[in-house]
Amino acid sequence: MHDGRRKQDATGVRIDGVSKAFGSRAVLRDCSLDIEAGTFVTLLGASGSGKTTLLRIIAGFLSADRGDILFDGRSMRGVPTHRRRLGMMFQSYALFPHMSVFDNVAYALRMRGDTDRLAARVGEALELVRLEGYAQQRPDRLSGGQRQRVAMARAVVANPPLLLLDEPLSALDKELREQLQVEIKTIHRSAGTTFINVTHDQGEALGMSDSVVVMGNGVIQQAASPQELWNRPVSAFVARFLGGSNLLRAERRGAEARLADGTVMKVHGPAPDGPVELAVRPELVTIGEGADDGANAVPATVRETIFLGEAIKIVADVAGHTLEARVPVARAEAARPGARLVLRWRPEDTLALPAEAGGKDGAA
Amino acid sequence: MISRTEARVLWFCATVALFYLLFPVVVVMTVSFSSSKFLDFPPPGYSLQWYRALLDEGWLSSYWITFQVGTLTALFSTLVGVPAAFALARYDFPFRRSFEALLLAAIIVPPIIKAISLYLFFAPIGLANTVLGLVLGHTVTGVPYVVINLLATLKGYDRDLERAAQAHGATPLQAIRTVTLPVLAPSVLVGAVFAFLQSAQELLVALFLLGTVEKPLAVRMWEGVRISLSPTIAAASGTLVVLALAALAVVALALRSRRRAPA
Ligand SMILES: Nc1ncnc2c1ncn2[C@@H]1O[C@H](COP(=O)(O)OP(=O)(O)O)[C@@H](O)[C@H]1O
Ligand SMILES: [Mg+2]
Repeated sequence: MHDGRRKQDATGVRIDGVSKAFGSRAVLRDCSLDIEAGTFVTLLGASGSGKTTLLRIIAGFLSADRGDILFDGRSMRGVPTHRRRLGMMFQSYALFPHMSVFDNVAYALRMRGDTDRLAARVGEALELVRLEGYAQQRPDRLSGGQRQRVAMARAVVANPPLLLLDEPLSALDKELREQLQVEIKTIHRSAGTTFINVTHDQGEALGMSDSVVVMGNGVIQQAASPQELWNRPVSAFVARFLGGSNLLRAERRGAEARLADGTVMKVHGPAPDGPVELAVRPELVTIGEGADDGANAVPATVRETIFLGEAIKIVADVAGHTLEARVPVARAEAARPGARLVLRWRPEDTLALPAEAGGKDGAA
Repeated sequence: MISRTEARVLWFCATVALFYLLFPVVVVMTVSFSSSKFLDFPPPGYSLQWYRALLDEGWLSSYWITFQVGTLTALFSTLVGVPAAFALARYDFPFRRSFEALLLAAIIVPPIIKAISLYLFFAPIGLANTVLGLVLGHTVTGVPYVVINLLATLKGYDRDLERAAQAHGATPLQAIRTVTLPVLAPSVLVGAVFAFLQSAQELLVALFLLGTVEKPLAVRMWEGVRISLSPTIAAASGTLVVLALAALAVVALALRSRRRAPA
């Protein structure tokens, strides 16, 4: 994915057993993570899950209570922020209000005494974010999307081997956000450096990243590629946070699990015997009696149907749970509110996951 | 939205308030241009004689003293007030809230109490009847103006600006010099202007701490009023009004550039 020539000016980051508490509140607990040089990694978690705190520790604004940050195998303990060779984007953009767009971008070069071809390089950075004509503007004259682009130009102008992005898109509206997601991805591909992004938006995380790190309750819940995360969440917490999955409480015994009402189904998945949650993706559920192909088949009562364009979302009552199915329109003729039918899905699509304390039933 | 009647009532109230506030100023300004020898209102004719009298009667030395004391007060208040505001905004230490309250107290303590206690405190250490003594006295009231002005801005100041500076290669000190201070400068300037103005118009502390040897403007005016109520006083007041207007313009400009900073 990245060529070797680029890779040598990308920073590999190792987070080694980092813990951080504010007063008596433990925000990060023994977090460890390896980030390969040149990858695009996203920390995904609800607000307050410690993403910004971890990013600040990586940047050197905060020091960890325990554990260490290593860049290319070298401990960053005692290395101040300005020597960590970073670029950084902030949720508020943090543009310097008393400087022109040009001076904002040039700042990253001037402070490093790296002023060869200064004007040309600032111009290139502004071109990269398509703001060529705006060099002499003040940030307060720009729209949100333009400010975001200036922040991007400032972050990349000095070719930092590591870029930190703290929810850089969250203040923008949906359309702009999706457009800028593509632009950031493109910039990452051409720079070939390491990007560590932070977001609470699942779609953004899965869409942009080589690797997604789900954070919750102060720990790293799962770090995996987007596909892996989507298909094989390791816990009900992760499945619930990614959203969309049906989650059914059950009791696992070997290859089978029993729902509260006694329904038994065949399951796969990592959870040990005992209380589990069964994750079933709505798009893997089908309607109909079918042959005896070993699928899990349960009688259901349709509560509501919702037309989605290419598919119909069916909300049904199944064994005392609410279950969602997403069925192509042509296959959903039988689904009318109040109708009784059979919903089926394959055992290998029935993931038994370690139950989350206090978790709820139904679609997340 | 407000209705048309409400708008009229508001307009009326604002006009009355403005008139009430400005009427004395207008009277004094008018009288200062009087051609009469007395404080007649309205004046029988207009001339610049009282402004000329300011020059002839040695008022210039009073302006000079007031300028010196005011400028040094603004300077000292800024030097003490800026670090104090940073400490109050950014660090939690024992009695932090008490410090903030104490600063307010320094503004609202009755001037006569301040004057007497400062005199009693300064006399034995040789600071009474010196310009430095008066500057220190006025700085007591000047510091809170600087702190309160800056504190309000600092509390809404985006710390990420400093972080952005450091992330992009600035040392912590460079970050403060190139980003924090320039962004906060308008608020510091407003505080310093207030500190200067309060010094320029303050009478009692000036009377006690310097009044027997040199005459700052306020003291000189006070003595002028007691001896003879001549329109020279009105002319002196006129110059003070102009000074206040100039200060207001500085403050307005500073506030405008401050508003430009994104929240
Ligand atoms: N400087 C601080 N002092 C005290 N508590 C803090 C501080 N910074 C963050 N926190 C707390 O730590 C928790 C995690 O914050 P943060 O890392 O900003 O979360 P996220 O970025 O995932 O939303 C929050 O509960 C927050 O209130
Ligand atoms: Mg955050």
